[in-house]
Amino acid sequence: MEEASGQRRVSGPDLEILARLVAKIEEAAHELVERACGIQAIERNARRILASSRILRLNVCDPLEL
Amino acid sequence: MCTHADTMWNPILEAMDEERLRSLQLKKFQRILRWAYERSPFHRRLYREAGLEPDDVRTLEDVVKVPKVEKSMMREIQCKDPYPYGELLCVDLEEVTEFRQTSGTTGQPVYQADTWEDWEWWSECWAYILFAQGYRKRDRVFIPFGYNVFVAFWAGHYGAEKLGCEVVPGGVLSTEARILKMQELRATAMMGTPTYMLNMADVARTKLGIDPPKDLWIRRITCAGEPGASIPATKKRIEEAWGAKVFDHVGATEIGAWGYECQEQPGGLHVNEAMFLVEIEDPETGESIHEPGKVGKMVITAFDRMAQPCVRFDSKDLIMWADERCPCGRTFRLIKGGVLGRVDDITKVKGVLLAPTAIEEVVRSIPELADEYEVIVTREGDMDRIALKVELRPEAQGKEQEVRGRLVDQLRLKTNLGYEITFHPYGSLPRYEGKARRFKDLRKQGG
Ligand SMILES: [Zn+2]
Repeated sequence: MEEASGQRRVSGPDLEILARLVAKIEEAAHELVERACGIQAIERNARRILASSRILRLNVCDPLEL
Repeated sequence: MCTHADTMWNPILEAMDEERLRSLQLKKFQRILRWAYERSPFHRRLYREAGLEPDDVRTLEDVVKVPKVEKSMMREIQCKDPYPYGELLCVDLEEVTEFRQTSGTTGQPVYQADTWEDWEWWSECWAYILFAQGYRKRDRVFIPFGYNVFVAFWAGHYGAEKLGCEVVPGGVLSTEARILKMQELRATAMMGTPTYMLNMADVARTKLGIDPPKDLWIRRITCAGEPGASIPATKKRIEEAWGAKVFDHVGATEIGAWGYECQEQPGGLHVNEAMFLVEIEDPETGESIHEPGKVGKMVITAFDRMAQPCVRFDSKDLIMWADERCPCGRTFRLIKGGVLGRVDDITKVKGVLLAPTAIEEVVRSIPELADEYEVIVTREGDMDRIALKVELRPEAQGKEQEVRGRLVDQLRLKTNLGYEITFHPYGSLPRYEGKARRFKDLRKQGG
């Protein structure tokens, strides 16, 4: 993204917004597990999303919580 | 575009200011310590016997109060329930999705459990490495590695995939078949031990008539498993043999992939300090070493590994902090010269402390010598004897006397020892695919 001066913007992304989105993903994945009625094709794929979203948590949410 | 997003996998962490980075490390250390204490009977017992509760760690300086874990302790408790990991396991056995084990170089292999979460973390750590070394989506990455119980390049495979590279698993193929496949597919990058990278280039030239820099497309190589890619003479040899940039990285089965060289190649490796806490301690006094330039033993914690945590693991690796920051902009500190050796490797020969990497640096800096060599230490009566076997390259035949003179002088200068040097026919010394065993101390076997 370019600033009016043509300089590169030095700021990073808004971590608060990112963290909220990560929480939403996790909430939805947990709900998928709960509502899966034991169907493994739903439960295990939702668990896999949680394994990935944990990395987003490490990359985004941990530094925000300092 | 965020600053550094073109050179760093995650500039939020890699370019974080130092004060916040240390706060992050403390918070993550406290979290993994509590996790290990609450979930693993092994850790709980270890800490209680030392009179330590997780709340006792309030600052990074308090970390040294936490007892270290030795590999021998891990060996003792495994092969018991929950089988085969024993009381180190912090999750239900049914959550474990990956089994790996150490190579057993220093004794009975250690078994390592990982969950999906852990495996995502492994590939994430590798994503930091590969992105820093210039791997991008356009790369076609060939992995000439025997995919098996050793973690080695498994995580490199998944890290490259995460970056969006196209990954070619060069598993159970002969060296010749691997080279031909790389040529056919125009692979642009690969991963391997320094030894095998040299061996492959040699096979390409001598058996297939292929000159890697001209006839292949490999432009970057990531090494692991041996210190070679941080030994300047070995790095130069691999770079010349392939016409490629060679990068080092360090990791271990029971730790994770904790350090990497960046594209600036500053003569050292960045520690991924957002994922690991590296401490250096004096091997004799146990005192913490904070100042740059002083070699000590690494004690390491992986902050985010859950199934079988790594908390203050006594790695036996010898490292030292660099005194300069890297121009790449990462705040992650550098260890100078990579892993310099292992506490167990440094041995006294004829009363002189010897690091095997010093011999490698000498041998590989003499262009007439082939890549392979072997060092054998024996004892006759009270006398240590150290023999060095080398090979001349085919084009250097007839230069034995001249090369011997240079070798003797350089070895004396760099290691302060005299060697019994013998020359062997080109191609006759052992070639290795995995970790090479070139240094043989037969005194320890009573030989
Ligand atoms: Zn750097």
